[in-house]
Amino acid sequence: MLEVKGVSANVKENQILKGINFSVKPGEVHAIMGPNGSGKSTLSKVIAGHPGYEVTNGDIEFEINGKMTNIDELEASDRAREGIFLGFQYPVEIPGVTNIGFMHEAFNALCEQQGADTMDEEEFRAYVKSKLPILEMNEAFLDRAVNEGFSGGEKKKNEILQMLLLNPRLALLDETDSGLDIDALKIVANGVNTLKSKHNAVVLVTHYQRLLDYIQPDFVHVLHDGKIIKSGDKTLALELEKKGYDWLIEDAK
Amino acid sequence: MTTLFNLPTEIKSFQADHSWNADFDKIRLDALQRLESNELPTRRTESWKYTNLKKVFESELTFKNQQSSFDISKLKSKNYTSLFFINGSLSDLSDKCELSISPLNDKSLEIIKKNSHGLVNDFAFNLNESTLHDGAHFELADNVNLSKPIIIYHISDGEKETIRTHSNTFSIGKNSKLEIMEVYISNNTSNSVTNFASNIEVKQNSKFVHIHHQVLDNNITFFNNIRSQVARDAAYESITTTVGSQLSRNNIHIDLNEEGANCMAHGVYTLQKEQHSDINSFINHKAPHTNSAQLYKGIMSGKSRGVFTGLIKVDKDAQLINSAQLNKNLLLTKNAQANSRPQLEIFADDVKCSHGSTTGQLNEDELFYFESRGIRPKKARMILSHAFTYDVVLKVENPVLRKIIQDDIFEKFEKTAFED
Repeated sequence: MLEVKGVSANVKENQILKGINFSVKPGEVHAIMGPNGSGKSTLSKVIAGHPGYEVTNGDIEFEINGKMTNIDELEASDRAREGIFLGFQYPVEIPGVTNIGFMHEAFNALCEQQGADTMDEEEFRAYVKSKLPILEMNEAFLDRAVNEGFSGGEKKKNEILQMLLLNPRLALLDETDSGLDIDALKIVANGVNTLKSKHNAVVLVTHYQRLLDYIQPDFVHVLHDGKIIKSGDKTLALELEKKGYDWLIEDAK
Repeated sequence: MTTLFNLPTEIKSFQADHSWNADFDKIRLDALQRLESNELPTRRTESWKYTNLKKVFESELTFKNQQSSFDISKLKSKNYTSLFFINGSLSDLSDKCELSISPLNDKSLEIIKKNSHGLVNDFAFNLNESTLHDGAHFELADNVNLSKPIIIYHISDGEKETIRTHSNTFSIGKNSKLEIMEVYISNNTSNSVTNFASNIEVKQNSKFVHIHHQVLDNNITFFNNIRSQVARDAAYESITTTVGSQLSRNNIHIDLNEEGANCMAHGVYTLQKEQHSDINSFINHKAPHTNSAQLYKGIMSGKSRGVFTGLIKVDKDAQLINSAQLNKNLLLTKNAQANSRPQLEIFADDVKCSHGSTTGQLNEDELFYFESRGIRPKKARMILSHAFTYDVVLKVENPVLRKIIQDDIFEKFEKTAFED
């Protein structure tokens, strides 16, 4: 459903990605790993269509209406409407906008796109409430401003909650495990596992292996200096845990 | 040199046509003298530095009474008491009201005199006071708490190239509470100037919530002059919302005269195209243990410009006062402008004063967060702008009044200011 073909990308004229290739099929879980500064977050933002990132080379194709389609020209909101979700490493605080209002707006935007009926406030609240237990969140979070004053763990749970509500075909989760204690990590992982089905795919961007104890990846890709230097199955993640990244980086040179 | 063109002549003939008693005539003559001794404000006039009136007074404006058959029925509601001034005339008194309403009278004169040092060097104020005639005196007795808020509609209907001034006086008795929203709307009016003044006294332990909600059509210039005297343990709360009008100026002068006197002065301006709003506030702490809080927020789109000047003055003897002032501006386009001048003059040594000002654009990260959830950029900007002003709108505690303001901001601003 996703083909990244030789993608290079710049941020403010600095080249961050230098020819990335990988492909994702429905039902798969991919982990993108790598040291800080390797371009992991950039890759997920580029796929989600962040306007601050310029693709200078290569193509990103995504399956839309059963056909692989070049999405380079689609803006971020269109990509989201087609089923790409980005879980933020640093979820943004938005004072003055209620969490539920924000989610409702997003949910109805996607319904509209898919030609499905939108929900009114009451229906939507009931729908959201049905998902809260998965993330062990209470209803009070819905009426607070988006992420404002949330702890690190609460912000990440809120991201996963949004993901579950929007039910994307492709979930890109950028460092969703960072800053989580072990309990929160299990809850978040459980949330991600709830989404998993044969129809959708998850791409986890992570620095550490520990999230992968709870979400089993089918493929692991190691990113360094804007390139994938090694791909493998989940045993690669365990190897990285033991040996660190240096041996791979040496090999790559 | 920019002259006052035909204005003084017009004012003199207005004064002659509307002669009253000696006291009123003197107030008007003094105001005219002050007006004549100054030229029309220019860029060199400090308090009008960013607001150019030349265009407004380019055409010859006259004082005249325009007849109207405006239908007010749709503006009435059981949720509030409504009063109507159409082209300056009090037009409907069918709603029952515990507030006594009379033409300007000796009590008005007394209140005007109590306020006589405020705004005296301001062009818009002097223009108003030199033609003091139309308006009403509102009086609330001691120990009264109104069950419903009052909306005073000021409707400009079919006025062409006119100038009209209107002055109300308010006396709020002890231990009472009053909530009034004055709404400024227009119908079929063009190239006209409306100029309002409120002279107010809030007596001991009372509270007056006074909202000015301006949604005039684009070709009308709006001046509003507020002067308020606040007594011991009393509170005056001013909220001004600027949605309409090509050019508007709100002058707000509040004297906190006795211990425990409080005021709030908040405002929202949402501007687009070539609209211009100027807020000029002056909070005068004249006694110890007085408090003031101000929050003014503006959103500017198109080529619009929002100006804020806010002076907090603390007298030598006004120790232990608390004062906060904040002006925040959001520019939606590169041609929009904001000018912000927070000012402090403190002569006491044991006070708490804070003031600040920010001007910025919508945050890119916030916008991308919305877009990553499938929300269109235009909608995202609209929601974020709505959120920007929402905390000021929330200062209007009454939900019925708040909804009127919210709906107008949506209809007149949010729906049209975000065209891609």
